[in-house]
Amino acid sequence: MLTRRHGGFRLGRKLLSVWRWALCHRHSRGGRRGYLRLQPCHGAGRRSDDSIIRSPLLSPAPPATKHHHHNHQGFVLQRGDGDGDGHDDASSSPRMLTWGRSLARRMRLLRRNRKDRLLAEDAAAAAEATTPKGQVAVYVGGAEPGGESMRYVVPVVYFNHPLFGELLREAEEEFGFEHPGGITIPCAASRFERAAAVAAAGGGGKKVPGWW
Amino acid sequence: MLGPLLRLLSGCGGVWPTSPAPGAASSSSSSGEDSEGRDGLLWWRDLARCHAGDVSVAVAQANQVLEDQCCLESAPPLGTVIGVFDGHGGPEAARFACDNLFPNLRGNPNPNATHLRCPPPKTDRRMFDLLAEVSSGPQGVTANAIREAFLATEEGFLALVSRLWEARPDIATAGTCCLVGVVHNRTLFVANLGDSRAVLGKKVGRTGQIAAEQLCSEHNANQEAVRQELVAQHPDDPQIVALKHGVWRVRGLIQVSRSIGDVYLKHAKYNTERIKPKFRLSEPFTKPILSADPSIISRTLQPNDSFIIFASDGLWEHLSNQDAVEIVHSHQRAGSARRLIKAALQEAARKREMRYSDLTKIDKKVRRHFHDDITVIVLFINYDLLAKGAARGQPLSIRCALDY
Repeated sequence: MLTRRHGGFRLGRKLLSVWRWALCHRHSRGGRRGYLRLQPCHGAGRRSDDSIIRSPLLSPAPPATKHHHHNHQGFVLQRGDGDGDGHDDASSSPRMLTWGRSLARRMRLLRRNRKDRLLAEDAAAAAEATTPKGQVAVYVGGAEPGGESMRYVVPVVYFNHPLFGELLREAEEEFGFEHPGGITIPCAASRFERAAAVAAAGGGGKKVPGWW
Repeated sequence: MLGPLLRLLSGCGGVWPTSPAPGAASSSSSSGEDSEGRDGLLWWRDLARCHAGDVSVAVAQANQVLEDQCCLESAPPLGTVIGVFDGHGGPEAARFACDNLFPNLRGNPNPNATHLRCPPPKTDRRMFDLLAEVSSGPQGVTANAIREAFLATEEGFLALVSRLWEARPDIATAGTCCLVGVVHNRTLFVANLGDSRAVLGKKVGRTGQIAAEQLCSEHNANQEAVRQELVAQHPDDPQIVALKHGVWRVRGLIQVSRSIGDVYLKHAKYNTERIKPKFRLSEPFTKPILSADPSIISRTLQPNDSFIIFASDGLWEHLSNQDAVEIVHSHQRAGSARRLIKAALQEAARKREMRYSDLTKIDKKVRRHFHDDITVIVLFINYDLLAKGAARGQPLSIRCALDY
């Protein structure tokens, strides 16, 4: 068994990987080694902090597939450990990442199996959502909900702005209230972006209602 | 002693099983915990005591003007009467039904004047006769009496529309669903008109599990049986049901096939150019397209009947029957209605690709794009009390207090 002593303790194989990763991460904090690598992540939006995932305000995110069970692919900027550190394969990043992901998946399943999963504060819902806190996804320009459309992510409070109210009225006439999927607005992308810019500038915004 | 401890545990995040034993439940509610709260677009009242047991109520608003109404009264001789009214096309019909259906059932005007939003119209001779029949008959409440009360309310609203037609033609397009539950001694009556739903939570043997049983059929055109019934009743009308926005609607306009109000679909003289163009029908109709005849069931309550959830379709859009009864069963009684609304809103937020905590930042009217008005009343049945036939405590009258 691959073990290592450190400070009088024996570390098992998995703990060893974590230990090495933690040490490497500390050493490489100065940015001396590693490179930025674009890696697809699967629903990792909740775990990562905002410094890794940025929601593009007013710039279109890649059009997502309209599956409710969230095969959304976000993109994560990650440090690669390309050159390795000379140790054996127990410390290689892809393995570490795979183990980390499988652990996260197991935790999610564990949480989902609990009886009160429906009431788990934000955690269960957000694990499937890639929209960051305070934002909501809007699909603009499609002929029907689920058709070809641009996916925007805007702050939720924009919805209280009168210009957005107008857009939503048109959406209601076109699609009704009970359409599946995210909010869909049948207008040109340019018009939506103008409305969002005005809302961002705070022109004629309404008061935020009560919290609960 | 057990009650406060359980409340403390549930306050710490709700991860501990907090559903108390039956003995403890009554002690926690008898410690005087009847609170009313309001937060933004949510209102709740928890664990009020009524003749049938305990009741938890909550309402969430989504429309600019709240179109859901709910009402609960508990007094002899009728016992406990619960009403959920899901209005559409405006709040007038739901408010009217809420104000008048119970007096029509019971025979007394509402004694608690502060709950009245508008005075009931003058009752006519026919309603007096009906009321006398109900309160003096040896059987007390019967299914026929409930049906008569519905019809009397429908006629009352029609009279109101004809009075206001000149000044306010839009009242012809207002309507409401009605869901009424009456617990009289050990008999439960559920009368449904529209697509609200009452679900019974029944304990399964000794397993500790809970099963859901829907108590009444819904009158929604999305159900095959309802569409077939409509087609059979209107064989000459090929457009009697039509798909619009992915949803079946009667004449492409309205999902429910029975309601109080909606006189523009019941009497052709109200379907003129004075109402909004989207409600106009191209050809006049000879017989009413919608009806006001409720589906009524009655059953004797059993010891393993634990609770009944009365809710408008805003809840059932997002939660299944089984999900709802499991949520109520696996938590303490206080706050059940709020918990159900929260679960429904979490699901609504998930569907719209946003977080539940952000949903609360959205104003009413815009909120309608995310969910509908939700009204939930959970009645926890105290079987022993009903079996003894003992009248319990003061008469109770609850009316939703959200400003509209």
